[in-house]
Amino acid sequence: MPGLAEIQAAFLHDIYTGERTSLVYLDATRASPSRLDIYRNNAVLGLTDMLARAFPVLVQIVGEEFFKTVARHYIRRHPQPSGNRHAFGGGLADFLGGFKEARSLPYLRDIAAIEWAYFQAALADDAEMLDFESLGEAIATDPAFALTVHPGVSIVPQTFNALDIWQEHQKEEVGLVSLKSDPHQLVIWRGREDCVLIRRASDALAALVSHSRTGLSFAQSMAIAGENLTDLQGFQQEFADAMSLGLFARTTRDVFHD
Amino acid sequence: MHQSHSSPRSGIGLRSVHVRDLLSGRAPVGFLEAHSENYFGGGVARQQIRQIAEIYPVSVHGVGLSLGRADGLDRAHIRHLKTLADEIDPLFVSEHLSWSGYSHSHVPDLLPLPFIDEALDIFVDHVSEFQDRIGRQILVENPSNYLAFAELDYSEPEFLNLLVERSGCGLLLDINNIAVSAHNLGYDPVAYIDDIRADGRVRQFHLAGYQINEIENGETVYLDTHGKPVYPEVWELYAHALRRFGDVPCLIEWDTDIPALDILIAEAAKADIVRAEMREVRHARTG
Repeated sequence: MPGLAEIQAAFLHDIYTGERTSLVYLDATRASPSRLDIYRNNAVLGLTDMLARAFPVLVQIVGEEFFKTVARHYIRRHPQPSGNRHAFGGGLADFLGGFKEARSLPYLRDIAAIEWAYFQAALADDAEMLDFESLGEAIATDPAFALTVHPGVSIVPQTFNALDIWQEHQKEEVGLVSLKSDPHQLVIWRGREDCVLIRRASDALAALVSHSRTGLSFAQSMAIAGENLTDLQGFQQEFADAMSLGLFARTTRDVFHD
Repeated sequence: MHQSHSSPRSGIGLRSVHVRDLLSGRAPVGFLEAHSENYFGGGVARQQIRQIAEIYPVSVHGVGLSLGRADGLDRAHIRHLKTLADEIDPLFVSEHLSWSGYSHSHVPDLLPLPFIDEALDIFVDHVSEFQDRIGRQILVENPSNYLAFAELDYSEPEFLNLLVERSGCGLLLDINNIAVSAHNLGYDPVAYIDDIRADGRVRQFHLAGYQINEIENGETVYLDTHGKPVYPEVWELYAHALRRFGDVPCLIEWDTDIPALDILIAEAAKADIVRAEMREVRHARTG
């Protein structure tokens, strides 16, 4: 009998590719080796279901059958990375960008990116929001103070007006939306009362979030944000809104990354 | 180490469609079992499990840790589980005698473990590490099996007995899975139950319904779908297990085609009636 690692590697290979390299380890007299397909079907159905839960608007747009085709191709190239079911699907937006069968729907990539960020925001670890008073105290007392970005925040680059399409699909009666080229970025996060919020983000706010995440101090992050600034008053308002809506957390928590 | 509490009335699986009803009043069930991975992270679901745990005893049942993997356990996954367990102080923490991931690939399924010496050593180490890290005893559940490995050092009951002895874990015997695997692999389910040591380490039972499928080559295979009422043969096996292992709490699993809450509660009540009957049988024998 080979080692357990060898058996497990062969088994997973078969499940993800449909090949049958692990049959040599099985006893065909007690159970037909074709039952390997039961595990393969369970895996593909389970992973497809996980994707459908994370990307409901995508399913609505392309229909269940085409979505299953997308999922089948995606699953083969991007195995589930861990047992955390919330961590599967993060590469679907980029995958769709290169999926030739979806070339006629170039905005699908943007839709998938919105949905993944929404899914991550909804499930992110809880964190207490940073209020203005605490921010003021921290800046005044600690020159190295760094903003803690809420664990569910994503900056999402967009090429089209996909948010208009996504929002239309939140309605019971879905109307037509004219597709427009519209390069911009969104910030998506979970705010008060567990509501997921989506806003357009200026380059300055995106820079502030990105650099705060790397551990740069508030002063350093703001300085970099300033380099991207085109509208000071607009940014002040945007920052104030983001603060009051919970974009930043009060303290650094032990946030898990899988 | 935090030991699991003892025997409440029978319970049901916690499913999101029932959460509102379960929170609106105290349903007559002994406990609720939540799939751990559904409650990783924060937000609405995490808030709900906290609220549920204030009203009901909750057990957390993992499906994604992959205790039988040949490489090391996923420590981030364990931290998620520990945080959840610390927050809701579950009645039981359970996982499966299986694996679902190796290296950087995973599947949302319980894959079969070859019962060989190497697998036993790895499984014992992983259960011990998991228990140490979360500070609680865990229960390990027998899965449904569809395939047989060519070379084995142990039968499944022998493997479980040794696992319990060496790691200090308890057992969650899934009676439906015993019926499913026994049919699929051609062994006697009663003999399987009789081969599990009756030393107080069986702490919980699972009951569920399976699906009968004919596969391509004409074989009839039982699939562990958790989508039907418990079959009569499984009720009979359950009664046998109660006679052998004593008055152990039971949980009704129903994960697909999920029925109304009342139907699940009625299945759990039926499990308690069988438990009461078996208690009387035992008292009559000893009495």
